[in-house]
Amino acid sequence: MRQRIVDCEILDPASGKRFWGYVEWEDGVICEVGQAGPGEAGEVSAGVELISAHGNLLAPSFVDLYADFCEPGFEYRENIASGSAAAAAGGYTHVLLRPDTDPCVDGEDTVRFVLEAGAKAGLVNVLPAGCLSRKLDGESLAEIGEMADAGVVALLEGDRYLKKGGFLRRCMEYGDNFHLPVILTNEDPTLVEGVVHEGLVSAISGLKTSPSVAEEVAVARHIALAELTRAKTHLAKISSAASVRLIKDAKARGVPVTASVAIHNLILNDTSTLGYDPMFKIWPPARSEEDRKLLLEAVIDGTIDTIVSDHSPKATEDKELEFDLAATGALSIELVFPLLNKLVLAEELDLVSAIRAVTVGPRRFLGIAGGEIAKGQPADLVVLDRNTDWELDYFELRSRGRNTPFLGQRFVGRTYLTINRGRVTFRRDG
Amino acid sequence: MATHINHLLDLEGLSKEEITSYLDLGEHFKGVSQRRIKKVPTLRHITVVLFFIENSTRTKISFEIAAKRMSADTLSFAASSSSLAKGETLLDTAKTLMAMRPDIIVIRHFAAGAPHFLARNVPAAIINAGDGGHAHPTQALLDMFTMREHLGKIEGLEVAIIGDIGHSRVARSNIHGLSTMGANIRVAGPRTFLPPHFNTLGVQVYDRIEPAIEGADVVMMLRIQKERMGKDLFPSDREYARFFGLDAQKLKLAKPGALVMHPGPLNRGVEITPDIADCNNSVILEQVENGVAIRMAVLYQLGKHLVEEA
Repeated sequence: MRQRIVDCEILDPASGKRFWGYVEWEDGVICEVGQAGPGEAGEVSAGVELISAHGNLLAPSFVDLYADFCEPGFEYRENIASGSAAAAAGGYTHVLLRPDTDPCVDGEDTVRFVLEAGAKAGLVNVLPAGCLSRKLDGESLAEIGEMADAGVVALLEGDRYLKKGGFLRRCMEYGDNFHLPVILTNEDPTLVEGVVHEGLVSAISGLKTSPSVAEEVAVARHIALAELTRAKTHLAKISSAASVRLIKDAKARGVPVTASVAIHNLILNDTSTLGYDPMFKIWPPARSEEDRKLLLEAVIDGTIDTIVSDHSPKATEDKELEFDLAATGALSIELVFPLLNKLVLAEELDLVSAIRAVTVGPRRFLGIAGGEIAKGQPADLVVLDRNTDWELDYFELRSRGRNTPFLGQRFVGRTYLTINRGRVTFRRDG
Repeated sequence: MATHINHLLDLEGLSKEEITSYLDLGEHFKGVSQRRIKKVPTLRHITVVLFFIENSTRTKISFEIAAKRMSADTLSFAASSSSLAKGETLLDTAKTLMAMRPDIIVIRHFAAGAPHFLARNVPAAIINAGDGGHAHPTQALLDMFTMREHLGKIEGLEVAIIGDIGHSRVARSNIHGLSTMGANIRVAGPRTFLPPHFNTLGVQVYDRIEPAIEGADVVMMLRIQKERMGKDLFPSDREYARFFGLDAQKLKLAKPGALVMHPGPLNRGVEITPDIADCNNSVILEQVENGVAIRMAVLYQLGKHLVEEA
């Protein structure tokens, strides 16, 4: 069946082009893109079903490189079905899942489990990542080749830092052998006492800190290893300005690195921790306002090519604790676009850069087709309502998580429609 | 939920007038402790829970005596003997306590911000008796009380605070309180004790004790946490005493008659030599006495309207 989405402003983040028109697809592949004014459908052949975007913005669907769906092992926080529903509602068609579950994804069987659970939910393409080390022990290689065969698309140790640099080098070499890119988080734990940014705010709050230097030291190590091994490496969840400078330099020298920032680090700064509200306990920590501004600049200039949700659902009982004892992280996958739109409306980020970092950047890293709206591309699309004013309530969310710092806040804009290979996987009612 | 209730969570944001009123009240209640009958009926009907998740002897006793001298009913609750040791969360323990309808909860906790967490979640007046590395507001109030009592004012005083500033809630609360009251603050210690950014709080930072003490009206020594010794912050108590401890010779740099203070408990021979701890300039035991007066003042300030309502 042919379908055509009409009455939309099309944004192609790969080229930066923006125009009013329509997109038509058949069997999940785009077969026609054309221009048509607002409210117009263009010339329609018989038998084509029309879907109206109601004057909203059409873009390629979002792809996430860092999300936790908590299954197997922590289903009380989220599972693959609820996480998939949340992701589809956020405009995502592809989500790379953290493998540090229980059991962790370190062999064929767990990879199959994740893929089957994702297929059963049937809303997003669940992309399993595999652990670098067996049982996350940090010192013995996981069966990376078998996992690659079973469908793993990248290697990742969750938020863990591999203390043994020599072991990490071997992981990168061995993983590259099977064409699997590596995603690394960046914090040298020997430089860390706590979880908030070290600065004037921590001098006032007395909370224990994770200083920027802990990230910078790790980023420098990971760049050096990427340069040595030539393994495709993604530095995930960058939070400090000095790390951005290191990455910029590495990219200029042709080191095979890409980088992401978590959505929260673009929105929050360290003053958010002054009330000791554990909802604001995130990792990497929200750093200074200066860091936040430089992260936004890095997204605009492409040094940071990807924005990740770092979706980390937690239950109430994990969060309703003293700040030091509370779980880290916030749910986010349904809020990425509303939060990005907030930055766009505040003129801190332009729309094209924002969309590019959730569509083109992650696709290029994983080698997924799409990311541009053109004939022959998969019909993985999202329709974004940029005008509706709404208030965040847990009843609005599909995630099982109960942890967002933005509860009760008003947002402008949200996903209206998500299309996965030509199939509508999310439609906002009313 | 409990926004209309007054708390004492920290000194950040307290005005000069508010701090002064605590000090004035403290003066009044110090008189009570010096009478033959050391008890007033002011807080009869009020229940005060001493909720001490982190060990403390002197602060707890001080609050307990203060509450008893105000005729409040007190109830002690320590972490080791409580359901917290069995894995109950702070919130559930606090809610259980609330079901017994206390009016004021005095909390000591190892985690910064725990009193704020309680204040958001339970309908009682919360007094912070020390939260991790964050604040110890009644200690700072009693320190300022002692300074004012001896030196007649706080504004314009040169106050040197020496020791592990970075990890000290006493230092943080004193920095906020003293700067609001118009004193000039110098902090000193080895660099490992002085995280960056303290200078932006409006204090002078020194990595040697001598220039910090020079010309000071008050020299406040902080307690060294011996468990940190020999690890990453300082190598030995011997070396600490030599470079950063207060002795007679270093004290000569201060103004004649400068006050020597210490929040206790003392490590004699480490941060302070025994002769200096016991010298005429030392007001360390007066700090303890004034602690009771200030805590009576704080309990009164937070509890008085509860009595009026009753």
